[in-house]
Amino acid sequence: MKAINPSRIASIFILVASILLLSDCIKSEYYIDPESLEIWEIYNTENGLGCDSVWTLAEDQEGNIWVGTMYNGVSKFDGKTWTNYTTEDGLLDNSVLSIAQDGYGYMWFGTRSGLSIFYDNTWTNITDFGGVRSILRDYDDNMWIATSDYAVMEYKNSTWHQYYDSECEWCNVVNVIFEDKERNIWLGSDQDLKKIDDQTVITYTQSDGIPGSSIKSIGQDMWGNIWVGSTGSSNVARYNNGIFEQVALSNGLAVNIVSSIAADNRGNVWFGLFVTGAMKFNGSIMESFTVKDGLPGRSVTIILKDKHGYLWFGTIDGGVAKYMPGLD
Amino acid sequence: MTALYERVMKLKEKYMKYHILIWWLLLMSITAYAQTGNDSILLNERKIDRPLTLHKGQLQFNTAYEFSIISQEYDNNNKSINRADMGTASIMHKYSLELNYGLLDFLQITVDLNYTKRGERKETRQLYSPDYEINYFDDYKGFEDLFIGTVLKLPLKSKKFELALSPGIYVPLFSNRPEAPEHNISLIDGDLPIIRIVYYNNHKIATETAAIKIGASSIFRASKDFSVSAKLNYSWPVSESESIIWINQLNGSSFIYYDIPYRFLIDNTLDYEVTLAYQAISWFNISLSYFHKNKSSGWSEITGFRIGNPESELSLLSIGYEIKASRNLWISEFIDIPLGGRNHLGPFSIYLGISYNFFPLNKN
Repeated sequence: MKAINPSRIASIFILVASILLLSDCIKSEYYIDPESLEIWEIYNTENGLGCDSVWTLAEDQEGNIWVGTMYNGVSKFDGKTWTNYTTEDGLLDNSVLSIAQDGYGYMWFGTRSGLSIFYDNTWTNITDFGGVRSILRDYDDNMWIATSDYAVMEYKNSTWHQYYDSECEWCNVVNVIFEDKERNIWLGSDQDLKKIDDQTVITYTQSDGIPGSSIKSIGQDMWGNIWVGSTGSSNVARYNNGIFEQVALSNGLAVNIVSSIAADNRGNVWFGLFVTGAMKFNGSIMESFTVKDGLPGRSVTIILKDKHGYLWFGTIDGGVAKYMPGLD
Repeated sequence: MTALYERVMKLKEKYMKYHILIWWLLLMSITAYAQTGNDSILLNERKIDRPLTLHKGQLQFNTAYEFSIISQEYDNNNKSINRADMGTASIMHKYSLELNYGLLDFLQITVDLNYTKRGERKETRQLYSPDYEINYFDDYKGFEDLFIGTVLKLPLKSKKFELALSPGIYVPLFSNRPEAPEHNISLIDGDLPIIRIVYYNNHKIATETAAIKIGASSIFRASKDFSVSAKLNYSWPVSESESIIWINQLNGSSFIYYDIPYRFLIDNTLDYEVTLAYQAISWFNISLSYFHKNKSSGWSEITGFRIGNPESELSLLSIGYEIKASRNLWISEFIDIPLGGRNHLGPFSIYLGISYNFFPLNKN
């Protein structure tokens, strides 16, 4: 056999190594750092948040996280820096209860005094309906707001439509508006739960299996179940095919206030509790998350899942935490 | 005599369809077991003198069994965690079958298939109000992806030094989709009744991903009885792949399951091994190896979002020997001791291999 020049062998190795390096470059793309799993990233006034008492959270189309605070307006987080907006900038009230973005990119803020709409550094304030507790942008880009004076208002085709229950005064105190995957609109009030589809409105009360009278939160899991959280009960309700089933929160308290419900992509449902942190339900058992586990505050007011899968927890006494559940 | 002839002819007619097969088997067995010039190569050649590729026409069956005790793992900071202390140590059984054939004196083809079985128990957890005992068990079993490769020995003049390249592909022959979990819930009666839940998850070993491997190996025979050899391999996936995860929901006292598809990309793997070997007797060779493996660049969308796989590493020290039991049969035994790592299990393994060699199409 003929001997090969060692320099030729070296050339072959260099060529192969170059191909490998190139193939690695082609494959590099965005993915979540595995070391960020199960790490609680805390944001509070020390690193730029407007106020440590948080009412609500929302994500806009660009991936910015908006935080509605109790006393100091709204804060926007672009992933690096916080920008704060207060009444000095044009916001109607510094107590922001709800946030949503409409189909045109306008940010809607529900405050104790009314509605503030923000776009391109311009504020439009609407005080006609009173305070706004909840805002929803539905699948068709119509905007729904739960108000203190006018029950529920829907902004559709540039016109406001009112949903008012003339037979039940407390049913007009709507705390939460939610749209499920089948595009039904759910209204949770101090007295009942309403499911609105194109044709009908169905009303559910405690006699149907809702654990408490005042509905504070509604969510949907991967199975399609609707979850309902209320005040004054140790349970939450799971709704499927017209039947409510009560599931124990198992946190040892006879009474809870379930402030928020969010589902992650592993089939878990997360419940924010106004007094004792959060609970994770994996389909069979509840698991508690408290300050000891990394939550920045005892009272969770809101849980939001962003487009990357991170869960954001707003608390009443410790600011905001960003958390990615582990792979278990 | 005539009657006997007629009976034989009848039998021949009856079994005519097997005629060719029987003759082929007879011929093969004769050629396989006949001692020839090539067989004398196998008889006389010591392990240290074996070239990096098989001889032309040499067929080699390698079977192996590997038993691993996984009592430690390495975390993200290279720190060793004793799984035995946590009650989560496990064992692994691995069965290997490898077929090698020397097409030419410098070109060998290889087919390699492994079957692995491992059960992993996680720490039992207690939850209260009501009292729960939560157990986790993960069952990993199945075939790995089939490997088909070649070894090409470079035509160097020196007998002391040899160099070979070994490209190959992993063929996604086996499914990576796990069976549904087998969770169960039961009430344990006692003074304080406990609800016991066992989360029993099934996993497959195959990645069902086509991947390419390139490698190089070399040997330097420093003296008549002493050699230093090295291997370097790098593999990477050709494309993304898809599998499923199962989520569960407790419905009364039974679990119902739902599978969710997700995409993933397997890691790129770089491994190398350096071996010092000493030919103590013509039929007995002892060796000491250092092995290192590094995995990176993969990701998974198992959470619905793309999460990178943690970069992992493992270093092993391997001590072993090979006995040439006959001209055809070689027996080897190794012990692998974990030295260090990162985001990786640290298995202590005992490996037993049997290699059967012959020239089925002997022309010498």
